[in-house]
Amino acid sequence: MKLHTIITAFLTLALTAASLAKAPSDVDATSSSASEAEALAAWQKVYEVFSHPRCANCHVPEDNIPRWSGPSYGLTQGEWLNHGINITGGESRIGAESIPCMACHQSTNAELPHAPPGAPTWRLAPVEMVWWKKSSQEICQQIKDPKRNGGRSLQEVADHIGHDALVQWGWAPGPGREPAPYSSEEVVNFLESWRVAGAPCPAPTE
Amino acid sequence: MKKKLSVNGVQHTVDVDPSTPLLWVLREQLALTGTKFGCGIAQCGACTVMIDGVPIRSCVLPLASLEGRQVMTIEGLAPSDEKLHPLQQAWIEHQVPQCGYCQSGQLMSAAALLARNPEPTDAEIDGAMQGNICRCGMYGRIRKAIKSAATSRIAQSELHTFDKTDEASDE
Amino acid sequence: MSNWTRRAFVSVGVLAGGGILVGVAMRPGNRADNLAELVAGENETLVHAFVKIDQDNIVTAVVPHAEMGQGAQTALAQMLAEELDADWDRVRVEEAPPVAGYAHYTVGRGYLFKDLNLPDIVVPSFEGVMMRLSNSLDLQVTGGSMSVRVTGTYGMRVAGAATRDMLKRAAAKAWQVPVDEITTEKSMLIHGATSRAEPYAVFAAAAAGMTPSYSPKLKQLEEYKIIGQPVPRFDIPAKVDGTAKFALDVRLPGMVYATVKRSPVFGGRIASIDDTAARAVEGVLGVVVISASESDTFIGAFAVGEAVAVVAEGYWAAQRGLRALEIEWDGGGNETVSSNSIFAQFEQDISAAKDRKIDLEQGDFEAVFASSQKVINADYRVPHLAHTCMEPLNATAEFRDGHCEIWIGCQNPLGFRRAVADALGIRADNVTLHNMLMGGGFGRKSRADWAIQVVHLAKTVGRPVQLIWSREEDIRQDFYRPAILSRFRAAIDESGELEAWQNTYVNKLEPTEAPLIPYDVAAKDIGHIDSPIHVPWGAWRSVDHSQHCFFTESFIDEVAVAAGRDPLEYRASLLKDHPRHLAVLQKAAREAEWGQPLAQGRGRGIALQESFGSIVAEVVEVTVVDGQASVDRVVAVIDPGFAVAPDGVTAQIESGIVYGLTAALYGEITIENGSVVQSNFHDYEALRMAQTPQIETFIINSGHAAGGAGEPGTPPAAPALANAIFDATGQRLRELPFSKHLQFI
Repeated sequence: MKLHTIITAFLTLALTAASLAKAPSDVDATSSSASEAEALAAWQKVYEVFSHPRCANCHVPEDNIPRWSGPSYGLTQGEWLNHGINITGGESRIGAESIPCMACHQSTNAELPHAPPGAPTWRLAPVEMVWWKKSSQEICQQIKDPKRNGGRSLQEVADHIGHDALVQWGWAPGPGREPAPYSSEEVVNFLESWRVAGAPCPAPTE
Repeated sequence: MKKKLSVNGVQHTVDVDPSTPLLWVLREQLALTGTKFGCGIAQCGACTVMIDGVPIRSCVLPLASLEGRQVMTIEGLAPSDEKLHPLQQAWIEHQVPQCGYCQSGQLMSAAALLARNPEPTDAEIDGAMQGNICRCGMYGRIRKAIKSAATSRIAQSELHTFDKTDEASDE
Repeated sequence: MSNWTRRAFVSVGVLAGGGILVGVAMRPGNRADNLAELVAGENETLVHAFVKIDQDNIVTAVVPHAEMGQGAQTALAQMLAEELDADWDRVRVEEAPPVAGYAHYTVGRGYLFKDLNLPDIVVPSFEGVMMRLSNSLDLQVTGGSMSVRVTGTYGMRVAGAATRDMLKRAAAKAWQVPVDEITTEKSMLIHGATSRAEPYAVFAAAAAGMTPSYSPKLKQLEEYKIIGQPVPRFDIPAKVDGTAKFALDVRLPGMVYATVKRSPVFGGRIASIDDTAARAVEGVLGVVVISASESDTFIGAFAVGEAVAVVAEGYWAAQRGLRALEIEWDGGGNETVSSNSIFAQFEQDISAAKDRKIDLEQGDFEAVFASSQKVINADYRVPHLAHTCMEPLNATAEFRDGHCEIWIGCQNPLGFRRAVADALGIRADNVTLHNMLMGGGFGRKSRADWAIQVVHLAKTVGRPVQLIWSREEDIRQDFYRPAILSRFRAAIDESGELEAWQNTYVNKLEPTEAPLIPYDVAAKDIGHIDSPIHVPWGAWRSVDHSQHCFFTESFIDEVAVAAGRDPLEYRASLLKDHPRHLAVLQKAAREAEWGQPLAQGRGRGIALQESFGSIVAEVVEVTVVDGQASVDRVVAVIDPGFAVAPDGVTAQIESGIVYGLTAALYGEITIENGSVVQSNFHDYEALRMAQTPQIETFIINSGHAAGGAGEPGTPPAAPALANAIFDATGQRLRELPFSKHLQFI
């Protein structure tokens, strides 16, 4: 109980610090023509994508264990499993310490049901980009923080989402897996309209 | 469609649909039957081969993605006809195999482990070998055999790797 | 002649005078010439049906058992070499071909007449009867943990001693010396007085013309030099370099590949197929429907459901073609059956107790229950289980000019030969069967359903066909370990003594003694109800012992707890008349440091079972913290009478424990809509290295009759773990698998 309280306090502090940090230069506060409500609606769609199993299953915390969640694993909303075979991505986040991800995940999706999906570089997202079980507000703060988004400006984030092969895989995940919602172009557009409206983050959820 | 393929240091040309998993090319086109089919979806490890030092599940690896990569199968694990790989020797000493069907894959996973980590701990062995199922349950013997191969001097000095320069060809 | 049943075999056996057997394995007149033609190579002499000697004095044991991982071929060669005084460094082994001369009348006898005794003088005529029967029955089974204890004991040892005796007689004649003066050592015949010594090979041809003794003098335990030694297995070197040949590794010129699918609902049929897309797949050669049939062999009749196969130039194309087929199935009325409905049916049938059949009844149990101080009730259940041999079912066949040749790895080559001959409508001697190494068997490879499929394909296609089942088909078209519901009631008196034991379960299969307990209880009532379901069943490593041992050894633990007694001490107090059981139990407890305190969150459990002639006790140590569990250690003790191949026995116990723990932790085949839900190792998991506990195995060579080793390690694993979990947590798990309640790390 005590530990839990301390962690919460620490997290709050960290988040405050992050939001206090100088906003990235590409947040164009002057050209904000869209209302904050519209921006938040656009963000909400981005969050829908980021928290989708195709994305969140591999944006996992420092336990380095990829998750299995979503209907393709026969699981309902909120349910999840650790990746089978006791797999861990290790600190390398590519399984170099035990079984490399690429032992099974090849550069393309395997075509049999339940066979491993694939993309040119299969790996866990860097540990500072954890999205797994994070709230909309938390991911929003995170994506604006270059320390936790891979050192990117928001335009670079959008570019990453529009072009990175592993991210693109989220919309073409192979047989039996539900793709991430919308399309990558749409998500890039959502991000852009959110950015130009000042990239507001939602209130913390209880 | 004709494709080039390098297996155990030998160049082959095969004429087969490039989406075909390497496992079936090895077994059907090249008659290298030591690599086994167990599940077809990279769950059991029976089809493990080594490619550029990584223990790859050949049942999900399309032929198309093999260009320029060196494949080593169980048939190429021993350094010569007269001499076994230290792991193979340890497998015999510890009487590891029962039915033996999974053992090609077990040995390739173990060889990949020792090639990058010559002195693995028990936990590191467990981590590297968890992708290989043995329905005869010989995990305890496999672990012991890996440790004894690792500690033998041969293992340190003679872990077998391919030298690209002395590649033979069947063409 | 294919429709012999076990019942028919029993009754004929009884008419023949009922009995068995000590001693002799060979029929009169020695090996027929046709066996020599089949098994003797160049420069080899078949001296006895089971023994070849070549010109370099290499002795080859011809073993009528298949190799599926259990290593029995090496153990059988040890038994033969021991009695033959062979030079172990020059002994080889090969599997006997599936021909009548190698039928398992010895196995048949072991199965049916093991408790009977017959005077030696009756043996020859009795042997003749047995021989004819087993020919008819096409019995050549590897299963029931039979190889060492039956074929080895009654076949290999006798053959070795009889061969040695013939060689001595041949040498005595040639040397003109009394046969008693000849000694043997390391495959040499020696006459000390005249300083003569010649290798066996010199007299092999002369010995081959003699009639072997039925009851040669066998060695005493203390004379063993080869039996009891941990010799390396013959088959292992080829299993580390990829050269071992399994059925899947057969390559024939012009061979094509096929894969197959049957109705997901067992017993269903094809309503319609659209194969347009399948035929358009690159490499697909054709789509073949294999009609439904029945097969009936000694080890049970079974249905071979209608199936559709795609034949192609390679397995991958066949697999793609199969996925492209559009099939509508007719489930045949079982489309609504589920695991829940099956257990509801079991529950209803047990509660109704209609037509309950008695396995064992003793004492006035009703009176005891009526007056007892304390009655304990519990229901236990286990789900269906698949075998998942590492090697998915496969076989290769060629049919030409009325003759069929088949390459397969199976547990009953003669029975399979008969089954495919019947399916093709040809005589069995027009079938040549090559039995290959098996990548696991566990009972699955005793049913010939896929053999029947491949010969149909070979006949239809007119080219050699290799049929390979997908893992999905392997899991969804198995002959499953039966699901069972088992209901218990026990009564204890005021001091906790067990007064009455009552047990009712559904569906009695094999072996019949599986639900019986060794514990001394005055009143027992054990019985079963028939509650048929549509899910096909088959032998699964240790057959019904694995389920009933989980039930009875968990429930006796519950009774001990209710009595306020230590589970080990309670069992021991009920085993006063079973000294072998007691010795095994107590050694296991001692080696596991039973009674030594364990850390918080850890627990220890014990279980005991006699099966297949051996007695095994296991102590499991487990850690359970916040719903996360790990199995840390298993101590096993086996009394197999005498361990012929001690390292082989140890390996089999380790193997049996991992097989049993896999079932205990994860194993569950779920039925929904009349068919199996699970499909591959991602949802039908196997124990992997990290979950495998440290296993310590101890052997007691009690000198009793030889017992098996392949199966007896499996049954105690689940109950010992259940009892350990109870010890750690106070939670009594009465249902498998335990992963429903705990996460195993």
